[in-house]
Amino acid sequence: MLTLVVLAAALAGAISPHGPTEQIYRDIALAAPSWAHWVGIDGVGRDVLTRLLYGARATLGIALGATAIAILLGTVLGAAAGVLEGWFDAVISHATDFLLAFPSILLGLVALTILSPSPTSVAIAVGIASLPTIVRQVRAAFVSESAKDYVLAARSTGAGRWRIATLEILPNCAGLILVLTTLTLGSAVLEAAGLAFLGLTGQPDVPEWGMMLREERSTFRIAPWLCVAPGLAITWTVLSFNLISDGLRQRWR
Amino acid sequence: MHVFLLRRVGSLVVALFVASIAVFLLVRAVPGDPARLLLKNPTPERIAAIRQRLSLDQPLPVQYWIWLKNALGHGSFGESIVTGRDVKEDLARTWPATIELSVVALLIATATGVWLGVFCARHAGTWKDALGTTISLVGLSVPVFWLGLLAMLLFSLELGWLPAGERGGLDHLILPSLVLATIPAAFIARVARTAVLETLGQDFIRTARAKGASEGTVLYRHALRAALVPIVTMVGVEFAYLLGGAVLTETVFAWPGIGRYIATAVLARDYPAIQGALLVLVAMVMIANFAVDIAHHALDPKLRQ
Repeated sequence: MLTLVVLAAALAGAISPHGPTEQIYRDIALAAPSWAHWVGIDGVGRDVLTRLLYGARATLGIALGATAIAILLGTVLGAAAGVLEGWFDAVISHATDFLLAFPSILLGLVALTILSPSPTSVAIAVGIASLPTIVRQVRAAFVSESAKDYVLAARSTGAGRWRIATLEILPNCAGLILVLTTLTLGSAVLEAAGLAFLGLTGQPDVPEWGMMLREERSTFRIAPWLCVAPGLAITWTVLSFNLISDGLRQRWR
Repeated sequence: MHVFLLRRVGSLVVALFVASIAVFLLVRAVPGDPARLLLKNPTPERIAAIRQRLSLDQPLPVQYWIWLKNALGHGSFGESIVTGRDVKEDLARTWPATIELSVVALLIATATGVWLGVFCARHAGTWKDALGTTISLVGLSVPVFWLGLLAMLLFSLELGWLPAGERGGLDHLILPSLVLATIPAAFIARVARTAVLETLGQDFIRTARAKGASEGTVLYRHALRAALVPIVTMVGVEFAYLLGGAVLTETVFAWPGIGRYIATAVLARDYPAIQGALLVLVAMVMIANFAVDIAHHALDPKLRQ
């Protein structure tokens, strides 16, 4: 399922005969789906299928960026909290508990108010918003792994704290981190689309699925298919990430 | 219990205090001078005047103190840049709408989620379980605002059964609360399924079955009760999500709540409004989490001792 989305993103330029911002079909604006234009034409004369294909690129890019930020930072912070214990752990744990009280879309919203609107800011905002959950899970995993016998064995051979954390515990948490990665990818797609739908990401020219929904919303009484298509694309992508994550989880347990 | 309650109230107060500082600083971290934004044609004198009026010329801790004093003393968060009214009035008008929507959505989500979870656990391994699990997975993956648009298109515009948005009688509440409940219901269903499956394997269930209790009694009276702790925890977490999800749902359905208010405020860079609305939303989530902790304590005999 995911392959389809990745292919669309990678080959958008090659498959599609038009550009994502070309307004070449103004005379048949809001045309219904046909053989020539599978998903129809939008209100200003752009081919919607083309925009969907390019949208896969924008959406996946943002989701990947956000997830990279959240997973890397989250693993480092969570692992450090789990290994160091003491005051650092207390600060991190309280901070994540505190941030979890903020609904994640609000965290993204606030982050976007501070950063100037661009795809990079969206990725950063969504990444920060997913950080608390990951820190908490990674920390919990490190704490529970630390109590196991193999860590004790490593410690008795005189291995240092950081050596144990990176060489012994981290590989054993790889499964969890992989599951979290796919899960975050899915939620990042949803979150980024939501923020774009609210109109917080600026740049209407960038074809992004949430943004398309926002634009198409004004015409959806006359041309509902324009709204159905980007939403289906989002659902399809998020569902495939969630399925992969479920599969991974079952394999590791 | 008293010690626990006291400690929990203490940490709630501290958390709210930290939240107020965080909200204050977040909005001050925004680049650009608020005084300049307030004025249509800024001249140096007018900027200086407005800076003084909003005490922007004071050091940050003093500014925070003034803001907090106004918020606690007069319940005032300052004047909204867009509406010109005190943010307090806007919030007083919007929060009941948000609470109404999210509480109804939470009830729907809990009822359907628990039912679906128990249904899946009961038929574990069969096609019914697979169907239920797939439904909840799809529910987790659908963007709520899109679902809202489709529901509006089908039920209000095509069929004309229900009104398309805005607040009103019970019929206005149906579509938005159902849409808002989708993702929490799916989450709760997954948690409930796992929790019930786990308890079904335990001895006391076998005892209940052995003494001839009906399948329904076993499931709902015995298994579900034991599985209640993770489910209640989940419901608390979901309330935070609901208030966030309300931002999108309220925007789609033109629901006059805090969610839509904050979305418009962010777009207009209306700082006093963002600060006030954010603080009220976060306080709601914290109080909900507090209530969940208390419920948790009351439900779990291990914690009560």
